[in-house]
Amino acid sequence: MNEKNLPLTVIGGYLGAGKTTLINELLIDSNIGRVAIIVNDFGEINIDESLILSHDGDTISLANGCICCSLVDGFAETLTQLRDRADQIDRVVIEVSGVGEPRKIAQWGHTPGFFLDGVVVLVDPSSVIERSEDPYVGEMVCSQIREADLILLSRCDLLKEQEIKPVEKWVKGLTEASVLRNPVSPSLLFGLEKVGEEQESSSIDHVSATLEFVDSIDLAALSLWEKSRPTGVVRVKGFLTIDERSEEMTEIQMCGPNLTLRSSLLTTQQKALVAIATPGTPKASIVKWLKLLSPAK
Amino acid sequence: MDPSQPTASAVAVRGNRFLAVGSLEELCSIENHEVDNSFVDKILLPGFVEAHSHGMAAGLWLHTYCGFFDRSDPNGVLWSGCKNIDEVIVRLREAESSLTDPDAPLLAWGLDPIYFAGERLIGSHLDQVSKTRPIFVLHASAHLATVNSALMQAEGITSEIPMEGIPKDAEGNPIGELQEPAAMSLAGSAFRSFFGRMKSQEAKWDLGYLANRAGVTTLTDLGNPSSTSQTTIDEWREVVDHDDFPARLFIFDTPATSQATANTILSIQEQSSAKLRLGAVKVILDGSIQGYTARLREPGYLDDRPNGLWVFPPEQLTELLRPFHELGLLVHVHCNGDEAVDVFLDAVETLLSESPRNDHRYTVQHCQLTTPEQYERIASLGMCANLFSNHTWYWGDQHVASTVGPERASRMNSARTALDAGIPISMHCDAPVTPLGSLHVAWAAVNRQTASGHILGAEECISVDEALHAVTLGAAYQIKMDTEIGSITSGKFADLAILDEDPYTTDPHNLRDVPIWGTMLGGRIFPVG
Repeated sequence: MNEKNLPLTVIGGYLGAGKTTLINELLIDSNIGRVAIIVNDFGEINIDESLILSHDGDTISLANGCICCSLVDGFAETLTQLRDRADQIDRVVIEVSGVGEPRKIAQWGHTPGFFLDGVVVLVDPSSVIERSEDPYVGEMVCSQIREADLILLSRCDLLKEQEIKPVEKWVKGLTEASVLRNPVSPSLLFGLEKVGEEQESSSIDHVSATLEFVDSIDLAALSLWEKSRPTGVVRVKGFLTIDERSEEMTEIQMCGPNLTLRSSLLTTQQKALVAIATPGTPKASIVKWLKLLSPAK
Repeated sequence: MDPSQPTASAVAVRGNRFLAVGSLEELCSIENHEVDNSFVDKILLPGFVEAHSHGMAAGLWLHTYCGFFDRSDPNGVLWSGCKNIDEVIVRLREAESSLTDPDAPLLAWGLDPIYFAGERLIGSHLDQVSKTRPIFVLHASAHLATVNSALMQAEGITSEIPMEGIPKDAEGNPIGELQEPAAMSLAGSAFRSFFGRMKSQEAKWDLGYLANRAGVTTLTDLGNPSSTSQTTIDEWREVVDHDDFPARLFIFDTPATSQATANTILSIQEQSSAKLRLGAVKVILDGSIQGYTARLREPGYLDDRPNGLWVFPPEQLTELLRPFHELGLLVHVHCNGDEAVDVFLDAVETLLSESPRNDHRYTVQHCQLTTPEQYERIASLGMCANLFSNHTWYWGDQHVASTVGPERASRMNSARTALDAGIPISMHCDAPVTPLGSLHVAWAAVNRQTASGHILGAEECISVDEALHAVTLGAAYQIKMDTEIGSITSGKFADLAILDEDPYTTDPHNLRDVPIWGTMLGGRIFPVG
C-alpha cells in the first residue's frame, strides 16, 4: 500500500490582495474536495457559522469535510496532525501572512507525507504598483511576486481591461510565473484534471489536453522542453519513465514555470501527461508541445 | 534603589514583604523582632528584574551546550566555550559517551560559527562523534541545525528531497546542514525531542534555578503565543506558584491578531498571582541585526544585503494595538532596527492622539539602533526603552565589521542618550539569546566592551548606579510592577539579590564577576544551590 502524499498549496500575497476572500471560496467549493486550510489566526477568516460542524481549539471542522487549522503549534506540529488524518483530507492549503515569504513557507510542502503543489501569490491590480513603491514594504511586495509559481490577479471582475492590462504587464516584468485573473477555475489553481480522463469538450474556464507516452524520456530533453511552454499553459502533471531510471515511474508536475520530478511507487500508472491552460489557449498548440517530448511518435 | 533611602544597613521583613528599612538600631524598635545576622557580610540589592527574557531560556540546558562563550547551566556548572570545530567535537564526544540509551539522539545547542572565521560545521564532523547515534546541533541563531549521517539515514534525508535549505556537496549528497524550520523538521524524532523537552515542566523549574544563580527574582516570558490557553497557564502555575520556585514570572502574550484576543488577554489578568503575572502584550515588528533581518533606515546594511523583514505588517500596527490601547493593556514592541522604531512611534502617536492615555508605558524592546532624534520622540510620547546592552559584548565586533559599521555600532544601545532624554530605561539579556544575568547586562552598559576588547561608543557608557537602577526598578517600571518590586522599600515584596561583594566599590570593569550568594523571594531565602 502506498502512502498517500497530500498536495500542499501555498497562498501568499500582501495585505488586501484578496487571500481571505479566496480562502473562504475554497472552503465552500465542492469541486476541490476536502481542503485543510492552515491560517495564522481564525480571526482573519469569517466562516459562515451554519457550515461549522465543530470548533475544537486549534481546528474548525466544516460539514463539507473541510477543516481550518490555526498555527499556534507551528507548522511541524500542525502538519503532523494533518498527516495523521490524511485519509480524511484531499489537499492542504497554507495561507501565508501578508508579510510572509511564500517560498520559504512553501518548503513545508516537501515534508514527508506531502508534496508542494504550487505557490500562488495574489495581487490586487488596483493597488500593487503603488504598494511596490512603499518605502517600508515595496521590496517585500515585489519579492513575494518573484517567489510565485502562479500569480492570481484578484478583483478582475470589478476592474476595466485598461486597468488590469498595465498591471499584468508590470507583473510579467517581475516574474516568469503564469499570471491568471480571478475568478479562476480551480482546475488551473490546483490542477484538478485527472490524467487520462480528458474531457469531451473544453470547459469554458480552462482548456486541457492529454498525451500518452510509450518510451522513456531523456532528462536533458525534458529540461529543454519545459522552457518551450506555450503561453497559457499553467499546469502539467502525470507520470513518465525517464531514461536514467526507466525501471520506476516518475511523477511529473509543472506549476507555472516550475517543473518537479518525483520518483513514484506506483507502477501500474499509465504513462501520460495532462496539460491545463487558460481559456482561449489553442488546444492544438498544447498537444503539439506535449508531442515534442515524444519525438518517436 | 529607593531614592529616599539609597543605602541602609538593616531591613525588616514581615511575611513576604519589607516592613522597614534603616539602621539596625532603628529597626530594633519594632515589637517582636528577631535579628538575623546571616547577611552581615553580604551586600543586599533589590532582586534583579529581567524585563526581556523567554520562558524556554533554561530548556536548552536539557541539551548539550556548544556555544562560543563560557556559560553556566541551571545547576551552576560552568561550561567552557567551544572556540573551534575541534572543541565542538570533543564536547559532543563527552556528551555522547554519557548517554546510556543507544537509540537516544544526541541533542546540542548554541553553536555559533560567526566566531569560527569561516569554518563550517557539517555532518561529517559529527560523524566523528558517532556513526550510529543521531546527532542534532541547533545553531545559536535557531535558524539552522547540523545533523550527522546516522540521523539523515534514519530520517530519510537524501538528495531526493526537493526542499530548499538542504545544502549538498559536489556529489550532490546533503552535507548535514538543515536551514530554516521546514528543513530542520526533517530531523524527525530528534527535532521533536529537542523542542518537546524544552516545553517540559523540568525546563520551567530550571528557569527558576537559572534566575536564582543570577540574582534575578522577577523575569519575563516575552512573549508566548499561547499564553491565553488554559493549559499553558495551568502548566506555568503549577511550577511558578510552587513555594520552592525561586522567582516571579510575567508572561506576555504574542497575539496574531487583536480582534478576538484583547478581551481574552484582559480576562487572564484575573488569574495572576503574586508570583505569576499574566495579561500583557508583546508584538514583534522586525528581525535581528546580526541575522540581517532587522528593518534599518538608510543607509541599511553595510554590505549590499537587502533590508530586513517585517514580522508584522507595519501598516497594520496601529490597528493591531488599538483594542489593547483602549483596554489599557501594557504593550511592548520588539524593534531592533531604527526603521521599526519609526513604525512603533508613529502607531503610538496616532493612538495617543485618538485616545489619550496616561501612564501607558509603551516600551520599545531592543531599541538597538535608535537615533538621538528618535529618543527625543520616545521621551515626548512618554514611552520607555529596554536596551539590549549585551549586544556590545557578544556581537559588537561583528556589528563594526559587517552589519552596520563603526559609527552606528558605536551608538547601538545608547543608554546615555536615552537617560539624558529623560527616558525610563532598562537593559536586558533576551535569554536564551544571551545568558540570563543582570550583572552582565549592567556591566555591558557601563563598559561597552566588545569580545575582542574594544570599547564601542565610550560616550554612551553609564554609571554603575544608573545601570543597577535599570536592571531593578527600571525594569520593574516597564512591566508595571514597580509598586511591588524593584527596590528595598517598605511594603514591597521582600525580594533581594544577595551579593558577596559590593558592586559600588568593585572595579566597574569587574562588575559582571561580582559573586551572587543567592536571593530572597517574598521573605524566603534561596541560596545558590
